[in-house]
Amino acid sequence: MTETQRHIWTNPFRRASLATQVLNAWRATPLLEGVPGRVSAQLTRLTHVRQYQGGEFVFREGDSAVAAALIIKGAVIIRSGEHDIARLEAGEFFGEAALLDETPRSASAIAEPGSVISLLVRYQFEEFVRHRPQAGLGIMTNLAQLLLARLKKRNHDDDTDTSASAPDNTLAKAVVEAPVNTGIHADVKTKTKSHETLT
Amino acid sequence: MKAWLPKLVLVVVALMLLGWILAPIWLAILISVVFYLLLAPATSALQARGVGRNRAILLSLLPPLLILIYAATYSVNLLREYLPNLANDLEHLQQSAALALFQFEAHLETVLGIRLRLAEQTQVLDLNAMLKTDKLLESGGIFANLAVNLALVPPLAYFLLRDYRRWRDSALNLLPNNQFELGWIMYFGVSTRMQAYLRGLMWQGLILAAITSTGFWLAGFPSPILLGGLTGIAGLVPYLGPILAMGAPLVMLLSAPEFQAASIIEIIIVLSIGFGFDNLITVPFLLAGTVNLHPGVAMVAVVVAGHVGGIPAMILVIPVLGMLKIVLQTLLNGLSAPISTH
Repeated sequence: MTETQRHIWTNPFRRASLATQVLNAWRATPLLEGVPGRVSAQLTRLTHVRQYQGGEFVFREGDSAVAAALIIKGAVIIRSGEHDIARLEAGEFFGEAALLDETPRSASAIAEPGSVISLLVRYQFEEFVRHRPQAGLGIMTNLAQLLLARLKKRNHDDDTDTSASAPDNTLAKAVVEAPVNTGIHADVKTKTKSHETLT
Repeated sequence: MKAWLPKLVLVVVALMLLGWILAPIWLAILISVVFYLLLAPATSALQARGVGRNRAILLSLLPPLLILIYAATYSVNLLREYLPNLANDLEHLQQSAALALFQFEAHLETVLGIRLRLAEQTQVLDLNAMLKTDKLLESGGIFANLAVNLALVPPLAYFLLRDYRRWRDSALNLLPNNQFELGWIMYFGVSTRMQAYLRGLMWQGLILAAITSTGFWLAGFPSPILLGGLTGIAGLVPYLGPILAMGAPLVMLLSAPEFQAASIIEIIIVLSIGFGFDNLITVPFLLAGTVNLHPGVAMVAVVVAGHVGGIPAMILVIPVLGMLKIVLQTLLNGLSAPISTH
């Protein structure tokens, strides 16, 4: 019985349980695109759902990156130095470069009141991929494509910035206006940190 | 006072209490952890080839369990046959040791004019009373305890292999939000290094035991596998291993009906080959860089640990110190960061 089927039989008159919301949210991310439902459910079970108070750091600029994050409820402010550069909402997936590397975070993520965030830790992700190489290959391909898309977009934005002398908030605006789950937020950057990715 | 200090003290007290409660089955826990460390990679490899988790665990657990059962049966039979002779052997050992020391002292007095009176002191000792051999024979407690511990190994090792990651995830999920990633970094740093060190240590012991067993067998010593096994265990003690390894073959030599001085040369040759291979090949390839402690610190720690907790403490003190080093480094780096914007 799948998570959704179980929910229908045990809880038919209420809204979707948190576990179902988390599963659906992760399945909608580019990371699990085309990945079989059973594998997605197994991976989602490894994630850590955490609740945050307003102003609490999800992670801090300069910290070693360990986990990718997916907002289930609420919103997160991305801050670089003293500047807020983006506001991410429910369903947004960010910090996925942490699944590959432990480079320091290039910006801070600060939760708004009542935010619920699901974290996928690199060490668990690596164990999962090692145990299921076939499914893991699909997920790693998705991750590579996602990072490639961000890299291309960043290069494009760099060109645009150079040629048009765009104002400082161009990228932040692009992030805020971007559609949910396109993963566009991970390459948030300021003009002073043009070669850093939000890891 | 720092807010995290009471929590840290609470965790340490809880761990000590847990250690006290689990003390009767420490052997079962130790062997199960050894099995986990050795078999976790094999289980993962089988799972990666599409074997179900439970089947992979059982497949990897079965061969070492069969070896353990065989070794336990063999050891119990050996002990049952040997224990009635223990008192006589100890008496003979004491006499031989006193004689050897007397000869050594006489030589020392002739050359340097020093008299140590070690032989007299050795003769006064009552080894039988110290080891309570009579009670050892009457009581079945030791064997019962050993049997219980060994019986616990298969289920404990199975559950460790099956559920360890789940327990770990649940434990790390208890961390507060601001310490969550820090906790994972700390865990990963400690577990990776410690697993590599302990696996390396086990292979080191096995290789040393195999080499010295062969050497003792070729030299015609009785019970070469037992001697090699004891050398393998002694070799796990950093720095002092070669000295400790001399103990078992020397005791066997002294308990022999006739003392043969030439056998000491054979023991030294066998141990030199074993530890030479250990230092030149095993340690650089299997253990180098896994703990990164200063040799001076490590040497002092081994001596102090030996004084406090004997050989087990001497073996475990290096990984424990390495673990504490990583934990403290990660804590000092992480705790300096702000917790909230408010």
